[in-house]
Amino acid sequence: MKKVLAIALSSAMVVGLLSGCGSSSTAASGTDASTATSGDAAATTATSEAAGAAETTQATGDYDVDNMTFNNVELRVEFRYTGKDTDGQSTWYYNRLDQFNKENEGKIHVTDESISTESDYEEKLTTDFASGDAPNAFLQYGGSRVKEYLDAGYLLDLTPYFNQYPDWYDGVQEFAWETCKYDGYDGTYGIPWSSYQLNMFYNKDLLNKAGVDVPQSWDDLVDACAKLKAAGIQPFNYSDKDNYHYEHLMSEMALKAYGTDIAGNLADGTETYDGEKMVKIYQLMKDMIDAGYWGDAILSTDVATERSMFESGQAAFFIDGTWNCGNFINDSDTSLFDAQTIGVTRVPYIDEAYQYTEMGGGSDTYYITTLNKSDEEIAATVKFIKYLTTVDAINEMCQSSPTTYAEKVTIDTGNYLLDEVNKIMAENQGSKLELPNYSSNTAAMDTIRNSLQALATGSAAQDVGSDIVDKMAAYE
Amino acid sequence: MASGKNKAVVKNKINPRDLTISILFLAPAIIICTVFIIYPVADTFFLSFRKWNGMYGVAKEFIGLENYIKIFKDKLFWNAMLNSLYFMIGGFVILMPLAFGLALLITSKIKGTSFFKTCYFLPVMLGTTAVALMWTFMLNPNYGLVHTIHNMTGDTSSILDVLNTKTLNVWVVVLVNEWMYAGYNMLIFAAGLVAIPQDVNEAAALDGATGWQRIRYVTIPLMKNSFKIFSILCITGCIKVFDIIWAMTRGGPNDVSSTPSIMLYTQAFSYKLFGRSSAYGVILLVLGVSLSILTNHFFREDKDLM
Repeated sequence: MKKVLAIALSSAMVVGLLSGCGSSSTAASGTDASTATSGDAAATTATSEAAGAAETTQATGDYDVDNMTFNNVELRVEFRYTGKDTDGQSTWYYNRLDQFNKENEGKIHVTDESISTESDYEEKLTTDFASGDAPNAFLQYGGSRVKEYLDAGYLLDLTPYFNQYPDWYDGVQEFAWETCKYDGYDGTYGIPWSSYQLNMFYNKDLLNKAGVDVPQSWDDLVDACAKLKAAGIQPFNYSDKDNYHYEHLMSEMALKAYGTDIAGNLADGTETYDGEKMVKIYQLMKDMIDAGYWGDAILSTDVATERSMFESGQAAFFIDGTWNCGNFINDSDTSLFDAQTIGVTRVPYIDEAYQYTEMGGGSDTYYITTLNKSDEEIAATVKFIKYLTTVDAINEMCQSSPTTYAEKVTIDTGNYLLDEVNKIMAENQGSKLELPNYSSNTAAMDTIRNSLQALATGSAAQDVGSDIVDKMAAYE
Repeated sequence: MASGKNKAVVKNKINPRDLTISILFLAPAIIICTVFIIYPVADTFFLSFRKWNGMYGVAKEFIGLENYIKIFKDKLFWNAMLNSLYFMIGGFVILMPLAFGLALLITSKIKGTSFFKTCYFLPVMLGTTAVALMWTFMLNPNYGLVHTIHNMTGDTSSILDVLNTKTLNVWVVVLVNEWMYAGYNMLIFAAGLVAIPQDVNEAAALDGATGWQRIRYVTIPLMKNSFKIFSILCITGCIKVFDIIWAMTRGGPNDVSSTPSIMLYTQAFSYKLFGRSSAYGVILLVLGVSLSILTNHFFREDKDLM
């Protein structure tokens, strides 16, 4: 009796402990990589085993996912859509998802676990990858944000699938592939569906009122701001509560001052974020803040509020991504857009030689995970992602939400701003993603975005540079 | 012979049936405690000496004390500790007298104490996020209540962005925190107040003690346990404060309003430094336990409160 009780109690204890780390034990089946016990060996094992999952599919030589037979495959995807009927892209996506599940009833079922808020989304993704319960597909923006997943061997190389479906690959514009290709890796590890670059939107009426021409250079912009201010017109409400905003501009300005080489130079350490070149950029930004050209309450204003202030004529300029072409028709106040009072131009250059150099490229990109995933799941996920990213699918999405896409969209949306933006992008002579994306330091993005906020709290340009470098070193 | 006797004694002392029943009764608590407290703490301690990027299957490399050294060398950690200290100062200088005063009010014989109790406790019922958002909106210099009042005065100068001004933003959150938790702590003190026998106060009054003297020499000394509970909750709460400051400033701008708990969170989820994040957890645990012991020592039975 005593023995029985002892065994029962021990079992209860063990079961309790296992339930506490349930995900680990479950994950031990599948393509578990946790068997490795030391340093690089673990990473290598992880890489090889995860790659093994993909190789199994490759070994069969069958990448024709559209004609494969699936039997009740359950998939879970984590994207950043905002929910049904919230915006054009989300509405399109959820309709498409329903359609896919209907067409594949009994074969594949996809559950969407979208989280629109970026920080919450990142947190969920981090937790899922830490516990081994990664989604079948997720959304990211390339560069350092997905490098660790790639290094661990948890991203699927889509090359053989693109070979199977060349039209799928060819449907994407060449410049957009940068979010999926990495130095030291031969494959293509995702598929982008949106593209962007930074543009400057302006209010034609306000510029006319102040007698200001559309600025081409940064000096022109400073002069224009002075004239607008003198005429009682606020030039910008350039906010940074959403702290990507100043980092985007910093990247854009650096590219327009030093060309695309600056991205590689900052990544390999030839240039540093506290070096003379970058400090000059921070100083140009700070000068605009100090002169009051970027408005008040910079850190309490988010981009949506900033855009609505621009749309209601409270500012002459608005610098942000090309996705705003769609926002201008969906926001509550569309009067300026309807009257075609909003114009769009390139962000002013700092060095004329780089007038046509831009920050931009592929943006939203789908990645497929191999971590603890069966071959059937992987193939089913490819089928689903392909269903979302063919040119026909993206044409439909563009109809719902006119903006710039990674795919070669063939429809005319009738959005005059989008037409202008497309013309501008067609004349580009080189583009790069956000500069922190090229850093090997995965903390670069957050540290730079945080540190740039200090410009709005009175910090000196040099101090901002030093802060970035110190924090990147601390979090390396 | 002697050993046989001892055996018999031992056998008589521990009845197997009693032992079994004891184990069965203790087992659920032991299992829950092990799974949800001992194991996570031990795992955090283990991870605090390692480097791990939070990637499943990637080894947790042993790096000794490096995480702790880097934390103690990081000026952001000391800034975060200072911000926690601001919360503690606010707790003892503002919250404690306020909550005690409210407790005196609601336990007094004035009319409408039920209404007051509800009013004072309302912020606690609203929840941290709701309170934080409400104040964030009110303080927003673009459209908040402060903005509206400022405009009504006809002043055209720009409004100070209090939640984005270094140090001031932490103190604003401290004040909101005190506003919110005054009602909760009022209940702790009120429980202590009603437990004081009425005749003690009456005796003091008969001896000619004034109202303040009765509070000073009768009420406060007899409420030692209430002050002890408040102090421990305040100290441990301030060390690990996260939610209200996260909801109001997210530790920004540029980490200036971070607290150690926010650092713990960002190290793991922003910078993928799970080992260092665990070291933060261990530091907070040690600090919390040490200060609780010190507080207990301060409030020990043989010591006078005032």
